[in-house]
Amino acid sequence: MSSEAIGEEALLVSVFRLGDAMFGIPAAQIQEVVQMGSVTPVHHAPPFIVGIRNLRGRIVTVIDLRMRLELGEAERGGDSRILIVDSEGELVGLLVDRVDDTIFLQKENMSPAPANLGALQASALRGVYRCPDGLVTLLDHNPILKPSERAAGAVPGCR
Amino acid sequence: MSDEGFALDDELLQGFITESREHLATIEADLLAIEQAGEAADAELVNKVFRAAHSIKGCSGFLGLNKVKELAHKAETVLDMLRSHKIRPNAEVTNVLLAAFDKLREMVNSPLTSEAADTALEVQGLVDLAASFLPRDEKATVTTPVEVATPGGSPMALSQADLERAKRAGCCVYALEYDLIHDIERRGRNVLQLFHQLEDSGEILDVVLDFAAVGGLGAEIGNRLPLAIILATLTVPAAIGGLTGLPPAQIKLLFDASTGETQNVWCGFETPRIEPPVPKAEPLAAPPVCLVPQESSVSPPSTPAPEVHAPVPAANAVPSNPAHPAGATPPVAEDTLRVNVGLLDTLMNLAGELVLSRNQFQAAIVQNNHRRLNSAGQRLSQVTSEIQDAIMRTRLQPIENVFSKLPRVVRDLSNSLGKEVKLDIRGKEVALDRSLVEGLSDPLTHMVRNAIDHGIESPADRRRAGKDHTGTLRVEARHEAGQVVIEIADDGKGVDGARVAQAALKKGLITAEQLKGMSAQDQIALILLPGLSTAEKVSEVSGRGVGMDVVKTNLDRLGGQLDINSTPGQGSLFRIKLPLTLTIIPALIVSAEGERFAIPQINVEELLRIRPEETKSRIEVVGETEVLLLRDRILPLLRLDEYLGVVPTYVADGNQRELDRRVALADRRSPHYTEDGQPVINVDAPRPGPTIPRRSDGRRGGRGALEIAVITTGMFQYALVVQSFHNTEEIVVKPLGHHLKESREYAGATILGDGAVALILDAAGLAAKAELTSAAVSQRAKEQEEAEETESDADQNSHSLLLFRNAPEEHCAIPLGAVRRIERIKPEQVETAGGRRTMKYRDQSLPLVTLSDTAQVQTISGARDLAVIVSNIYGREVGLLGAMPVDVADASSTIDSSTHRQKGIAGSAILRGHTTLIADLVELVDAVYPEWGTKANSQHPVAAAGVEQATILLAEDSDFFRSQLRRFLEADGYAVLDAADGAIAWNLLQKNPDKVQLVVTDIEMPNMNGLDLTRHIRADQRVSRLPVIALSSLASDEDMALGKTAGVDDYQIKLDRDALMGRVHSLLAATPQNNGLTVATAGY
Repeated sequence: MSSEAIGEEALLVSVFRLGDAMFGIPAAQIQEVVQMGSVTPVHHAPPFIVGIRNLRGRIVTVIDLRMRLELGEAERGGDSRILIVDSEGELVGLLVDRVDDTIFLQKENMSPAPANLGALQASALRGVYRCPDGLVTLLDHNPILKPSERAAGAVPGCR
Repeated sequence: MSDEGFALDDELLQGFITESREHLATIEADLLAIEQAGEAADAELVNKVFRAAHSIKGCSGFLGLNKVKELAHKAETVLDMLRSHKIRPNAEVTNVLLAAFDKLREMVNSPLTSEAADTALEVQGLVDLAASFLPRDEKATVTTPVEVATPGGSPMALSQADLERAKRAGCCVYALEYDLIHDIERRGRNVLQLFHQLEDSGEILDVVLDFAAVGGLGAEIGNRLPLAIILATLTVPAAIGGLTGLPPAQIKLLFDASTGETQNVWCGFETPRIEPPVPKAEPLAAPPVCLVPQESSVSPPSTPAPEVHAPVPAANAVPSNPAHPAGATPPVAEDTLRVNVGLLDTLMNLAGELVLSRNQFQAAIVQNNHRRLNSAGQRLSQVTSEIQDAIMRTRLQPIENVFSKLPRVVRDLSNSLGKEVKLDIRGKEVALDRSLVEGLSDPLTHMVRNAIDHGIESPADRRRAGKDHTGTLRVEARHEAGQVVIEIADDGKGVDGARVAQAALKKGLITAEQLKGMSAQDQIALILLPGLSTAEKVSEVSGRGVGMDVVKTNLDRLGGQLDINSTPGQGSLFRIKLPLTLTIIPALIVSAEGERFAIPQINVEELLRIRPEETKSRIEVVGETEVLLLRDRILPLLRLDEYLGVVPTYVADGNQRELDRRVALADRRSPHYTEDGQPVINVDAPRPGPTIPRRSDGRRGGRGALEIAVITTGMFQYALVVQSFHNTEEIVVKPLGHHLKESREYAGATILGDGAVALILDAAGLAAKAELTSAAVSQRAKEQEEAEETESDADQNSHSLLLFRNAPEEHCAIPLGAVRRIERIKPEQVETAGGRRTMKYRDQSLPLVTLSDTAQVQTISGARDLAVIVSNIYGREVGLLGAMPVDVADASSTIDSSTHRQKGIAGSAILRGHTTLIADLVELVDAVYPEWGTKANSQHPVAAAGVEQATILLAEDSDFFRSQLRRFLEADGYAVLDAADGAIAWNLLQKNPDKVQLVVTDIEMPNMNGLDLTRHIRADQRVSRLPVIALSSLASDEDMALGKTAGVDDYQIKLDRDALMGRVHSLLAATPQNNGLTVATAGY
């Protein structure tokens, strides 16, 4: 789990963009990164669900990470990617605007997440790292995908 | 110590669990059978239960599951007494044994915590039971241990009762010492195999694994692990070495049957003699309960628990299990499956075939040979479906696994409620997918409990009602048309629909208006509503807060349908229909809102297309909802496009419905929203505003035909409008992720042939989400009826046709009114003899005809499934052969009776876009069986007597029907005057008032309808007594009443030739020649 991993001196992290902001998820937790492909929309599903996608015979739910984190809606384009992560034994896709790079984050560069966050963000943000290209916010995808958190998806302030 | 046991071999533990479960699975039924048979109980059955307990005891001893072993052992003792007729089977004995086996099952399911389980009550129950049946001086043996020496030296405790039993049976008793490492593992054997082998030739009395011999941490590792087994067998000492494969040093003779000599056995009265053999490994070594001194074993039940329990203190048992705390357990779900070896071989062969096919395929691709590609493709598809079938069969389990639980449920419940119930189980061999078998358990049990609790009356009530005091509960499974049908029928008091409805009304689940429109069936169906319980007093059974709605939900999840029939005072019938498997199902692919969706075929009742000009007459708006008029039914209509396209609401915290924020997503999917998410009002298809869930005007301004699937959820049907139909294909159902679990309108997803993902629609969930209910429809139906009471039914003029295929591309039809039944058969069931085809049907030979007998059509060949459409011609049953699929369509009167007219084909119509030939069964039969018609005709007095040719006036607006009817009448020797509507008929009649002797008229006709024509006839002096037969495609009671008022003598269904001609003959026969003086009495 990420909490233990963060405890170490350096952490290998996949860095991606949601809008202009950089986020990271520990690389060990990402099974693969795929292109948008053909995503079948699921009508009447929670708003942050983009749809479902065929990943080599498995059905994967694709989630708009940006909308889930209340940062507006993902921009679909040639740079859009889906990060496939494991959530309680089930594969889930996280739609992001762009995947940048895989880098080591040094522990000494970390500052705690800012205090003025919503409940969900607060539970998902593990810290902010100073990097040469700017700030990278480290995410833990598990609280984002926990079923019990679904109801919180419609908290106001979505824009 | 159990820890070491598990660390020792996890596979063994799994083997033990699987095997024990298998043993336990049938025990309940067996015990109940034993109880029922009493003294006469089948010895083999008792033996079977005994062996089950015995084998659990053996294995658990080895695994260090001491609690399990102890309980199994005690059960074994009681069963042995049962076997030797020391105990008579009765309800008390069964209760104790059932309780013990329940506990055993619980412990076996979670072996890791079994050491902490409290078995004192069960153990004491068994001990008391055994003791109470023994003579005083033998009581002691139940619990008295004796101590025996093992070859390895460590002494071992053994129940004296076991020893005595072995002696009685004339067995020698040996103590064997296997070395688990050298004698078993290194020889490639496994302990369970060894046990089985030994049990084949004797009985294992006890097993102990001696961990002490392993030595401390300092000792050499992996050297020895002795396993001591006490074996009772008929094998003489000279041969025991060969049986066990052990050197003499590892065998010790304890009792020699030939000499009657006991060795190395100490009586266990002196408890201190038995020292814990394994001081380092306490829980395992903790002496078994047998150690309890004799006096306490038969002590009164008020004190026993602590004493019995004492040797294995709970404090000891729990810490022995540090890696598996009690809360973090257990592997309960069955995760292994037994598969028939033959089936596995088949699969293996098929896998070989698959490889061959692939090679062929690759070769064909390399050669770029089209023909070969084709044949390889065909082969591949065949192998695939065979593999699919075989794999599916590996998952099939007999429903017995569920049914076997029912006798216990029935017994316990009827006892506690003081009712007498006979359970009649049928079809337990019916097999279905294991996931279904598992899922059925709860709903089925609940329904059986319900039937006993609410259905079957007390013996006194039953006698008062004039019924047998024992109620009958029938649970039956059978295959029916590719589905499994399960029926639960009781002969109790039935469901009182009115009371259910009152309760629903009182709880506010329905409104008084809704109630008014409900049929009895609808009222009964209300018991499926959540929150409704009609039990007047809350009993143990009904008060558990689980109602029929949960049953329904469970069945929905399994893709099943529930149907309820009930007659007050006579009983209820609950019918469940289930698919054979859940993973691969046939489904209809449709598209809507630009996406494809799959609808399970089981939910699709029929498909129809409504042409733009028909929409007005077929689709009505009642209240806020659209309904479809389908024959005599009124179905709520759901437009899938609009349902999906509607601005969704999303349930947020606090259950507040708020507007979905996904509008911006929606605009990508459909063009009806602007950038900022506002709905755009489109000119050609006005979209609903966000607050109106459905369009209320309900008509798509003539934009082409509507494709409609009639969807059934078992209790309730609705019409689903889709954009277009694709094909029907077998789809593989994949579950949706947990984020979508709330989306109840989808049953899962599937991957289509082109790799795209399609959602599978859940018929019941979709209806619920769209807020369609049958109650609402009944209400609408009522309003509709009232509003249109006098208005003529638009449906009158259309005729239902049964569609079938002759050759695959030859669409054919036959009027539905002529069809008695449809049977589905295989081509090989058709027998040909003397140039005529027949098939065996209900022990009789059913003559068969096909269109190719007379008409220039292709022959039926290659079809896998044939349909036999059974009709009655000249009073005899005859079957018309056609090919599947069979369907029903409504054809409005545009039937062309000239273009395709030939012998056996009455005409043609365009149905669902295909030219469809309409079969003339009478002509067909006349051609193939000419003797039938002559025989039938000669029986009619009119024709036979050669009476002067009677003239019949025929009024019918459809050319097709007119010519058909004319031919019927002329074939029987009548002269026919025909007219295309009532007005023409009236003119004809006025011109020939003396000639016409009978009038046959259609009801629905332009200019003057049949009823008006009849009124005119009755009002005219000259012809007022003329018999009038009215024809209708559907004759409801109201129609008949209306007709009677107008003066119609009889109603006949169109194209039911035999009935019509019979009526014509009898009316004419009753009427004196030349203008009837009497009007035949109408035969209502």
